[in-house]
Amino acid sequence: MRALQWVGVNRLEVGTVPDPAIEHDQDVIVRVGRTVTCGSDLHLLGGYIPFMRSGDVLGHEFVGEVVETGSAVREHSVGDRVVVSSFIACGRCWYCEHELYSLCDNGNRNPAITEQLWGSAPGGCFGYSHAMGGYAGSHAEYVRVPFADVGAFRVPDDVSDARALFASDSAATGWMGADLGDVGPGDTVAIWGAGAVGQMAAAAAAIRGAERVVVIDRLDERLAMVRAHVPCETLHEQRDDVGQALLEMTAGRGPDVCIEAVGMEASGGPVEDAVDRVKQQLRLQTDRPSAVRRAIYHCRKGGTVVVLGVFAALTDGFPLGALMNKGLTLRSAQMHGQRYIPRLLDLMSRGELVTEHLGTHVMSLEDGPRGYEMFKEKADGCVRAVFLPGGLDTETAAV
Amino acid sequence: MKVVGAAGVAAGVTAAAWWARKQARPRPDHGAPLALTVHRPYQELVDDDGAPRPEELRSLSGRGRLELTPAPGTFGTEVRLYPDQDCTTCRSEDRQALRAAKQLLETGATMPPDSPVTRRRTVTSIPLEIAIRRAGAGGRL
Repeated sequence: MRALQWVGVNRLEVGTVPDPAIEHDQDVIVRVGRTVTCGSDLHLLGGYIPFMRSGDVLGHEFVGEVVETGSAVREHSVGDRVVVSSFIACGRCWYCEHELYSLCDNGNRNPAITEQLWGSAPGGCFGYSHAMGGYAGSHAEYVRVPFADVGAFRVPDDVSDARALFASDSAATGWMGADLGDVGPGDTVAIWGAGAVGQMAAAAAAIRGAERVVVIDRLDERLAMVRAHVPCETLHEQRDDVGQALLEMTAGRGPDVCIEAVGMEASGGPVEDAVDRVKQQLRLQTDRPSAVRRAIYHCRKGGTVVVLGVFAALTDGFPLGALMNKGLTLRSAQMHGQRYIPRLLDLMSRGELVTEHLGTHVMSLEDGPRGYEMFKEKADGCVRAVFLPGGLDTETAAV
Repeated sequence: MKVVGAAGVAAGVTAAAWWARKQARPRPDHGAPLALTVHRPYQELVDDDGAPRPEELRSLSGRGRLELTPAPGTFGTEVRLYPDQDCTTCRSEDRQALRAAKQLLETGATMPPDSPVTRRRTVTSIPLEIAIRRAGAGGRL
């Protein structure tokens, strides 16, 4: 089959790889209908997460059709249209039974790597390096889905592939941000990053009844997009005095919940950015955390900061003093998709959560390297590039 | 040139001696059990005599003394294996066997380390290859 492969730092190619096969009786094989780039892929692409082997297939956010099932699969049949959680979880360990699916004890096939790096191993993830299990990704014609009864969800008939696709990861991650922040009526929520995850966090906060939602970014087209689809305000990170504006909005308190949706390649001001990049290049730190710094600084006393962006290992200049002295609660996780996807599909079915606009560029899998280039450079207003491994589908043809 | 060669040989001999001494020293975790928590009720995993009930655990007994205790709260059962043999390789095999037993008891399947096709092996990929080879048998367990 054809697949989009990582072949070196900042090098992608579409090549031919072996078709996946059922390895366990709880697996299904999915023919991928749509699969989408994610900001966290850029960390892999750029070599910031050095656990990729040449030839690894990228992609972890996808929707498709079940074409083969293992003998122990009960929830799915051939022909089911499914969206699959990007994180692979067994559904039976202590963490899964407490709905902490991305912490699954049994989802990561290579636990030693992250045990050494982080102290314990989180679950596995499709197409996200050998540190996260070394599973083949979804930027391919077919993908094997382990523990399919736990991680794959039937898509309601009235939800298009283009919409359901984002339940796989970005909408679930955004929803988790609002959930971990315990966002509810009366809250002012500030979100750093207007990519797909940030936009979904804003949508989640609004749906959960936040009093005021404000999204901060430096790209005008992304700010315009989130305003068009979510009842929220926006601030331009460079043109607006973000701190002053947040204080004015909250009469001097600061946002109750600050959500970081940028990750380890964030850009701050020119000096901060230069220092962070030098430290990163010298391996004095692995991550550039400027958005986390801002979220902590601007959060009100006693508020909650939620980190949704992906970080790899070590960061310098972490404002622990502000965190401690302001009595903040810091929460974070990789995405517990299995916990949120059913509700997200329900919201999508009722039209209360729209996502398809996030897929700004739809193209064939063969165009994958070009899609990532556009996505990385944020060229032509690209928020997410969506690939169609099976060629143009009826939804695309209708457009 | 002779001086450089002699210095190289001396350095090599010193390094070999250091390595041999290091290997001969008792391991820091000498005698320590390998331990993990299985999310299954204690009563399900032991019989009335306190012996392991499932085959997945009984098969570990050949590797050393097995100790099962109820875990606090809702975690299930704590399993400790005191290995009979205390070499690095044996301990790695024991670790992987213990992990496999947990996976089987919790999910009915094992998830061995991945072995995907690598298109091109490079010098910089060697450390990763080593890390992946040890990914199932290494770690902090």
